[in-house]
Amino acid sequence: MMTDSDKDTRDDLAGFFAAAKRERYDLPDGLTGRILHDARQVQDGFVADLANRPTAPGLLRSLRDVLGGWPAMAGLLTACTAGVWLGYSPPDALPDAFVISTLSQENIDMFDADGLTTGWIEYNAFNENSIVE
Amino acid sequence: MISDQSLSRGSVPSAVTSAAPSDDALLVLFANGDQQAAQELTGRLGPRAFGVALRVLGDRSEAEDVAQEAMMRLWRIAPKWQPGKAKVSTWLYRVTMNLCLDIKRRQRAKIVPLDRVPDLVDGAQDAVEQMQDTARIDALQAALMTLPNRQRQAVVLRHIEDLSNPEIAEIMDISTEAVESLTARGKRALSSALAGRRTELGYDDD
Repeated sequence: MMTDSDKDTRDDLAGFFAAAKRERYDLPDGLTGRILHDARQVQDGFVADLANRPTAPGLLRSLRDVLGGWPAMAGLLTACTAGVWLGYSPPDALPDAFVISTLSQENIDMFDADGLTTGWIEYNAFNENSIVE
Repeated sequence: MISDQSLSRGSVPSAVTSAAPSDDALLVLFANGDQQAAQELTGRLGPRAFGVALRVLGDRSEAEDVAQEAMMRLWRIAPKWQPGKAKVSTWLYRVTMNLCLDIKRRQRAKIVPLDRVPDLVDGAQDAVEQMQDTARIDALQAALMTLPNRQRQAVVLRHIEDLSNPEIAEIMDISTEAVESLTARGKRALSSALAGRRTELGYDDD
């Protein structure tokens, strides 16, 4: 709530504030020039930033970024190479992919039906029989 | 005029198409490379930053430096400006006030008569009234410079810049109640400082 004292203060100062509001400032010419010079420099920076912005990354770059960089890419490449080599020249302990491809469906199903161990034993027995024959 | 649409960083608010584009719209245009927008914003906001800095600092040279730095910060923030989120003028007042505070913190406050600033707006006032106004403004400025920094800022923003208390609260980062308290105390101090000068400043004739 406004007190008498506040009202007196307001009345005392009203004329001073009114005079101050009537006085409007124009920017000094030199200051206007400096502000606009700053503006141009900052704008030039915007244009340069946009011009230097990299274009969309290529497939290899995207893949590298997704996988986590060059070390991950090298690991993936090694694994792929090893996989291809194992497929081409499997060790003796593994079935030859070519031989498997020539087996009948019945021989292949035994892997699923009785488990890998049983299937592996039967597969060896089959091979031995073939050799004997 | 948009100098290069391909540089667009954001959509231009619809107000830009009207006769008087908003400050928001001009800032977006500026970020898009429009040099005319820089001139328009300088014309609109530069005098406000300069004027309020002059009132708060009481030193023309410092006020020019503050206004230039405040506008520089406006240019730099342009690409990140989000139209509609805040008023550009409020943001600029805030930056200006903080720059003024920085200066005042670095130096002991000194009372310097406000330089007579050229380019007083010509109006219907006759020469006597204009001289009286000038004397009152100088007296007010001298009294303002005796106030603590925050009180002076609040009084200038409220009673000379005619901003609302909530807007001042946002600018000064304080509550509305704190603004009211600062302005009330500031006005009492001003009234006391100017009490003995009413007659010489022509208030007996009012």
